[in-house]
Amino acid sequence: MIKLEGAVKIYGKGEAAFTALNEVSLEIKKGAFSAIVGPSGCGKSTMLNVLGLLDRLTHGKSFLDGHSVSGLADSRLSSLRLKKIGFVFQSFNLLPRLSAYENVCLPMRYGSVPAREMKKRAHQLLAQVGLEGREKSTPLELSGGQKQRVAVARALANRPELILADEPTGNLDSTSSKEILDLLMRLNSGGMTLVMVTHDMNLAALAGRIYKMKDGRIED
Amino acid sequence: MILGIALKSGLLEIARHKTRSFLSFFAIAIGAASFYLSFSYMYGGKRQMEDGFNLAGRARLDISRDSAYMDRGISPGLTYADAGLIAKEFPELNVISPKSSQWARVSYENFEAESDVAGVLMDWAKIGWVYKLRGRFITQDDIDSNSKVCVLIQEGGWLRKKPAWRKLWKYQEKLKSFIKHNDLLGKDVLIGVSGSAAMRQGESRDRKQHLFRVVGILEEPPQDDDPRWFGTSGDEIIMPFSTFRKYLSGSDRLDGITVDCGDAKKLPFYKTALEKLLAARHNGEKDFMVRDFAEQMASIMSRIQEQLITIIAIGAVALLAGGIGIMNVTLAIINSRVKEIGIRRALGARRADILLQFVVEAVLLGFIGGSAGTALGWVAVDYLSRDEQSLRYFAFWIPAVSVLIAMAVSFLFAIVPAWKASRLEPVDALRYE
Repeated sequence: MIKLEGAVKIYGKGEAAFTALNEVSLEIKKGAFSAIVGPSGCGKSTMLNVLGLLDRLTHGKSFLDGHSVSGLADSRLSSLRLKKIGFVFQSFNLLPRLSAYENVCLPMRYGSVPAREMKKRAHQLLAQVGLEGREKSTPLELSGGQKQRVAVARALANRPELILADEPTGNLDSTSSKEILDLLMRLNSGGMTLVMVTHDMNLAALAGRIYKMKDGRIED
Repeated sequence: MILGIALKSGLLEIARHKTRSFLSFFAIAIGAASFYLSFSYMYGGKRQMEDGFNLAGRARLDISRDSAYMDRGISPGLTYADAGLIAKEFPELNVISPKSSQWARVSYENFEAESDVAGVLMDWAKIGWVYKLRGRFITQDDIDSNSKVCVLIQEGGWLRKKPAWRKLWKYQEKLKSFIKHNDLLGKDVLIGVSGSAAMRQGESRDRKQHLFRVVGILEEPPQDDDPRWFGTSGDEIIMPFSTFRKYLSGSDRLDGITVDCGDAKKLPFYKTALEKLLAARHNGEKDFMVRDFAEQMASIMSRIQEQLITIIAIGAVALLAGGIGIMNVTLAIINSRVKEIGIRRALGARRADILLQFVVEAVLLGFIGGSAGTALGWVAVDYLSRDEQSLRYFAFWIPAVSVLIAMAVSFLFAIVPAWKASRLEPVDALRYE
């Protein structure tokens, strides 16, 4: 599904240069549940951004479904993100002015999903994450757990093959954390590839494969 | 669908930044209102002129004395004989209307005024007739027998309420006003050469007043509904040319001759032919002008356009200020929504989607400001049109173009900030707090 070969990501230039990823190579198979763990500043989020085609490598190669994505144009990367990748962020990143329903519809609008299909799918997804009847609520009217469930529904809107979750339970209480984790696990059981960044080893233990990172490298 | 999102976001942003949005709206609105007013003037002026020419005859040629000509005593000048010659050479012409006018002293009982008297032929009635006639007009018999008859012109008043600012306008033709309140039809009035006219013509002129019978009253249309683009003729008393010559002017000199060729296509031919004919009669002196419809229209339009440049310049400056306001608002909106740009990009939005998002929001500001300005312009035009007839013509393109200009200005000023927003790297935008 995703592969990195000798991935290097350097921010800044000269003396201010900082190597966030240093010769990282990994391969995540389709349908796998992988966890990336490590202390703050070890390069976990950079790794997720690179895997999610939000950031470009300074050196090295990255592949998605066997095709190199290193030199693709911005519009092509946007298109791949739209169709193949769903993001779940620690701070939810919902658009505050839009309702739960509209937040879920947003990726479908960019994907030009027909209106009727979009409406049906958004309602189904919100029901799937247990938010039936809260379609019109704005993020301000939802609890942290509910917001994250909207974010998961939004990540699934364009039926992606890969979910990238960056500390998805980091801002949630234990009950909500469990609900979100159960939700993600169910998706993975259904065949969805799941990559989760976390500093919580208990959560990482649920993954099929754990990548421990330190100073921009993956430790064996 | 993307347009729908952009429109909704735009409205929300406007609601969130009311003061800033209002300032932008205000400048854009003033600009759009100025353009609305200018377009209304231009369009209305042209339409009114066309209607006026249709009324007066599109196949009309106006022969007049060239005021710039220095008399060297070679040419006899424009005279009644010229009109006779034209009639003789071109008997097929529908209308040949010579006219001469001068100031005269008019008295009736205790009333006395200096008024403009015109000597005309019956063809005068065939050019731009807009009057309501009481009594009768002058006849061929009157002309043939130098009858001491005259027709008075009475002002038409106002159809609607007289505009307040016109009340400040003190000047009013004294006689027209007098006639309005005193029915002189069938009465005899005294008319004689005025002091100023006598001085010009030499003290030998007979300054005696003669009694003229008022055989008709011509009521002008209401001032706020006068179809003549050229306004009132200025004449207050009309009399047969022969009578005018005998008792007032004492000469054959004319102010002008109006000719109607019957067909606008024949204008070039008659223009050339008349110029040639008159030049030969005037011993080669070009002391007259022959002007046709198109020439007069072009000359008047160019005058209108000159006046409008000022209004358009004010509008352009206001729109420029509005555009800068829109740019400021767009920049502020973008700065407050960098994180949102990152989220949208992570969800799959392309750069073009982000660009469109902010451009649509700015154009929406322009649309609302432009619409408000157009409404303001409409109110202004509605008020001014009580007095200014050219503003009574309406075309759908006038509000449409005014709003479109406001939207175009907003688009032009928003495109650079929106383009910069679209170039933000998604990962940088996502990190922004």
